[in-house]
Amino acid sequence: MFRYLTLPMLRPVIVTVVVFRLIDTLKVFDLVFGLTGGGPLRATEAVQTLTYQTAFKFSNFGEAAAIVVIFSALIFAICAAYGALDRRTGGAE
Amino acid sequence: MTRSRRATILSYAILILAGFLSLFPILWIMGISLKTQADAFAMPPKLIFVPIWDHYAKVWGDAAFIKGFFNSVFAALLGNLMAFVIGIPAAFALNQCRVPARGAILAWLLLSYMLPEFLFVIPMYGLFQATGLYDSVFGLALVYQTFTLPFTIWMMRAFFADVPFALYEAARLEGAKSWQILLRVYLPMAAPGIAATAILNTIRIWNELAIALGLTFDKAQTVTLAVAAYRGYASIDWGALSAAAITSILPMLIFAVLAQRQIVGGLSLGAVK
Repeated sequence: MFRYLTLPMLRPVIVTVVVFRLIDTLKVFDLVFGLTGGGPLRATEAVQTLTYQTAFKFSNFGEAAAIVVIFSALIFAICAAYGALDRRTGGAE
Repeated sequence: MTRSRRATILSYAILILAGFLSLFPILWIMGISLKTQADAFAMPPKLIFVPIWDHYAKVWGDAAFIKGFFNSVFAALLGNLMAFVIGIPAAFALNQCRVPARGAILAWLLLSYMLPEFLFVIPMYGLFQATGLYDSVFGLALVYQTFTLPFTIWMMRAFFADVPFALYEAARLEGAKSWQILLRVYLPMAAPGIAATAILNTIRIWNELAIALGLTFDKAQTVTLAVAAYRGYASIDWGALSAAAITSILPMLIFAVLAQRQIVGGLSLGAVK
């Protein structure tokens, strides 16, 4: 019952949750900043910590702005893909 | 019968394990905050110890930490106030009035809730320097609108949608104006929703780090930055760091326990709507 009834019916909700968590995880900043600061040697760098380093440590605001705009475009693309998928399958939203 | 009982035991076992896994770091920090530095790093860990309160005394007597704590309180109050003053009428209008491109507006609001923090921090840094809003709680609360306002509009819309439309029609027939319907009918009916939204907004603001890091320096430091400040350049004051972390958890913990029912209701509404 669970596999053939509950799970398929929960599909739209599961997709929504996965997309939200995916975007939240891509945006991670505080955990990386607090634990490693992106180091050692950028091994744990995330996009937002890279933006922070570029802007506030190396004072390169232009490059930081470019990074964050490209990153926002990526998130926009994920949202758009989600929207298209959601409309096609007649999802929760 | 035995099968369902086994399932119950199994689900409890999983729940206890999951609960323990998520609570363990907090318990561990609490342990460090009550031990001396030597005891905190003793191997094997000392599970039985005489608690010392020196670290808490130090943190609670630290002017920088107290200032950060209250800055966060004010930022949360201001952020909520602004979000509701704009968000409640906006949600009402989006629900009841004929708004062109309503779907597009709502999608944009949701998207702006999803965008990375630094998209707002980088341009605002220059702007705030020029206007004198840099390093002020008010400026911080203004930027917090980028996530509290869309969230408030979405949540309030969901709660307003639960108010029976017959009440709207009845009030209209009695000759009430739109803002009267909003204030006298919709707001009282959606009061639990306002509470839930305010709580979730406050938690978001309280935990916020990236924006506060970029747009404050000293005067408007928030509690998250005050905690991080115990991680110095040369050495880390583990005891004080842990005590500060526990202290910063406490208000939200009390808040969450008191308002658990509203939070769960609000979360499920926000999730499926």
